[in-house]
Parts: sequence; structure tokens; C-alpha cells
Amino acid sequence: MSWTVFFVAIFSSMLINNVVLMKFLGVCPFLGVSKKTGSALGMSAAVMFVMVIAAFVSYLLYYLVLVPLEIEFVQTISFILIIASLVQLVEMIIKKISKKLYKSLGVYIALITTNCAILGIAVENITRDFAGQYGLFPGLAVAVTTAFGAALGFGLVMFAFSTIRERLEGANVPEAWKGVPVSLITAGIMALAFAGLGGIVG
Amino acid sequence: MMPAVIFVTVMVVLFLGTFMLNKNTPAPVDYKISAARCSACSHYGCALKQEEAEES
Amino acid sequence: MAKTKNMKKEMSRLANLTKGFFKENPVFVFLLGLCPALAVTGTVEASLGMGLLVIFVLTGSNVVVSLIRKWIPHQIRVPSYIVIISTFVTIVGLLTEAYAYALHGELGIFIPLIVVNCLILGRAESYASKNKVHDAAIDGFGMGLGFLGALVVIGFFREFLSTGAIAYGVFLPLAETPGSIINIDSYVFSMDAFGQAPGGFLVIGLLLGIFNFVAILKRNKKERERQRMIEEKKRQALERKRQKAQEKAGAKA
Repeated sequence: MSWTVFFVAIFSSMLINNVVLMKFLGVCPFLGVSKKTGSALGMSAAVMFVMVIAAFVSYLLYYLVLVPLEIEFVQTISFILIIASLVQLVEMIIKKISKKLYKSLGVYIALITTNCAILGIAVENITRDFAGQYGLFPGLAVAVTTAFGAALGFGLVMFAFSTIRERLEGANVPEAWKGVPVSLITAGIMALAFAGLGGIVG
Repeated sequence: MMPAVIFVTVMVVLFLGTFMLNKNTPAPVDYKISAARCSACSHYGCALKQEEAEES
Repeated sequence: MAKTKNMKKEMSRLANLTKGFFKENPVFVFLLGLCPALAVTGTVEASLGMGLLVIFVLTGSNVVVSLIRKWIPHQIRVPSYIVIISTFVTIVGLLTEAYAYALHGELGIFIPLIVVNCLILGRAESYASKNKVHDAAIDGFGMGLGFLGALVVIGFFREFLSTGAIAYGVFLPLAETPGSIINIDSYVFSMDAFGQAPGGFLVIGLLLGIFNFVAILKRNKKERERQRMIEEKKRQALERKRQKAQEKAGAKA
């Protein structure tokens, strides 16, 4: 296993298999919190924070608890519960340590429990079988790197989309397509652009 | 089957514990919650509630 | 008297069932559950499968939430809903794996992701936690049907535009051998992009716009009719006035 594995993991999960545009995870915040660039960036930061921790914890939970006990079928329920507890914990810690951080991230942290991107990446890390490919702990590193790349991709797309939407406010859009429909079509065109990146890394 | 039941129970207790802990920790600042929460559709039934409020 | 009351109840039940189809459609009106609506609607059959799973989970969770609504402390209701829903999702996942393996493969991670579908939590919190069991069951079933309908409509356009055919029997055990309902067998309709990621956004965006367009047309028509009615009334009033004036003049003369 070489360093290229990590590079490929970040690159492919950030650009080629972008969470929002290619895997359709986290579409709700993508459409909901992208009206202003500031809130888009706040949401992306919160997602990055929680996504990396969630990937780490859920991977360990699966391979150190569920597999030895042979109860892999409770994966869904235990992942959602661990992510939800994690979000509560993170929110509590932020409340205690920094007023400033809470002011900028607090709203978004609370939203994250039901963000499908977090659970989706955690589940996908398991289905892609990093542990089988690289071994248990190197696999953990790859899983966390993948989650980090996915969060970077989420942030990139959120930022780009929010700036486009700010311009869209002043555009002359047909009455019926104002608001969500035109945002979805914009996202579709962005997805077409991202589809062009497919195949760069095998 | 038994380990699964015990494990899920532990997870549920963990979640409820952290949930209550977080709830009992006072927030250092008040923030405007409704707009971001509702539009992100992550807050359950929030949109519906908002609509009810608008109607009344 | 008793009969009319009963009928009213029946009507409201029917309304409860059908409200999710058009007026409160979860996808096209409330934009709930967009993740699966975008991700698994590449083919009609996968959409159908996803819709069926959601109907099952939504009805089940609504019933259970409604059954235990009086015992759940208000403070921890959302966590309890999450636990109930994820139990149902686990059941559904295992069932699909056993009886429709191809569907399980096609939907992939979107089966566990039913847990975080805003639609289900939304119904549990805003309806099932306040209503009786049978009402909650009807509501869940109706909303699920609305979701299924929306998914199938999206899936129809995407599959038709990307392959020019509507196939059946691929993912669901509907037929012995896979076939297709419509197959125009033309290379004109092989716009791959519609079956892949970008098509989801484009098709939903265009459909939403078209629905809005129809709604606006209807509203304008109503508005025009109202205007015409007002003008008609004005004209009539004016005529009456004139007639009265004429009569007055005639009497004077």
C-alpha cells in the first residue's frame, strides 16, 4: 500500500464520485442552505467535521463490535444511533468550549443527524470493503480519507452552487421555473460537467 | 439474537443519554434557528409546521 | 342524521388517503425525500421497488408511533421515532435481500438511507404522534402511495429518455422472463445522461417547472373568469341604471 491510495481516495471521492452531484447524498442541505455563500460554507464545515468523525467511529464499531459478535444485520440501526449520539456529543462540546464556534456552526451541527451524506458515506465505507482490501487499520485510514475527500467535494459543490444561486436571484427566469426548479436544472448542468471527470482515476 | 438485542439496547441508552446531556447543556448564545432548519428539511415536519403557522 | 355523520367520516378518510397524491405530494409539493427521488429513479422498476419499501416503512412506523404516542415522553420523542423507523428499515432491508435480491443490489445504500428520509420522520412527528392508529395507518399508506407515484413518474421519463423502452421483470419478480411494456427500439432515445446522475436533477427540475406552469395557467384562467364576472356585473348594473333613468325621463315627459 502506497501513498497513491490516499491521493486516489481523496481525488475520486471529491471530484469523480462527488457526494451531491454523482451519488445524490445530502441533496436537502444542498438545496436548502445554499442561498447565501456564508451559510453554505458553515454547513460544509459542519459536515466535514462530523463526516470524518462519523466515518472513523462507524468503521471501528462495525469491525470491532458487530463483526466479532456476528450481528452485522443491526448495521443500519447502530450506525444511525452512533451518528446521532455523536452529533449530540459534538454539539455539547462545542457549546462548552467556544461561544464563537457555536455561533458559526451551531445551527448546522443540529441539522446533521438526518443528513443522508453522513450515514451514506459511513455505510459505503463498509460496502466497499476497505478492511478486506488493505487490512483493518490501513483500511480505517483509507475510509477516513475517503470521508474527508467526500466532505471536501460537498464543500466545493456547495460553494460553487451558492455563488451561482446568488447570481440566479437577478436572472430573468420564467415565472414557473423560479426558485427550486431552476436550481435543480442548474445542479443538473453542474452534474453534467462533473460527469466529464469520470474515468480519470480508475 | 441475544447479543444483538443487548447491543441495540446499549446503543439506544447511549443515544438517549447523550441527547439528554446535550439538551441540559445551556446554549451560550441564541441563534436564529427556524430559517436554516426548515429550509434544510432536516428538521422533521418543520415545513409542515411552518405552513400551519402561516395559515393560522 | 347518524348516516350523514358516518358519510362525512368516510369522506374524510378518503380525503386522508388521497391528500398525498396531488395536493400534498411529498416529492413535488413538499420536496421531501429528494435523495431517493433523484438516486434510484433511473428505471421505472427500481422506482417502484423503492416506493413499495417506503410505503411499508411509512405505514409501519406511523402505526407504531401512533400506538405508543401516549407513552413517549415529549422530550425524547424524536430519538424514539428514529429507533422505530430504523427497526422497520432493518426489517425491510432483510426482506428485500431475501426475496428480491436484484432490487437489493440496485437500490444499494439507499435502503439503509430510508431511515433519514425526511418524509417518514415528518409524518411521524406531524401526524402519527397526534392521531389515532387507523388514521395514522391510512395517512402513512396514502403518503407512501403519493411518494411511489412521484417516483414512478420521474422514473418513466428517465428510463424512456435514456433507453426508449420501459422494461419489467429486471429487478422485481414480476415476470418469468424480463420484457418491456413500451419499446420503440430507436437510437434517437438513447440519451444516456438521463439515466445517469445529471438526468435526475434535470427531469425533476423540468417536471416541477411544468407543474408550476400548469398551476399558474389555471390560476390565471380563474383570475380572468373572475374579472369577466365582475365586468359583467358592472355592465348589468350600469344598464339597470340607464333603464331607470330612461323610465324616469319617460314619466316626466
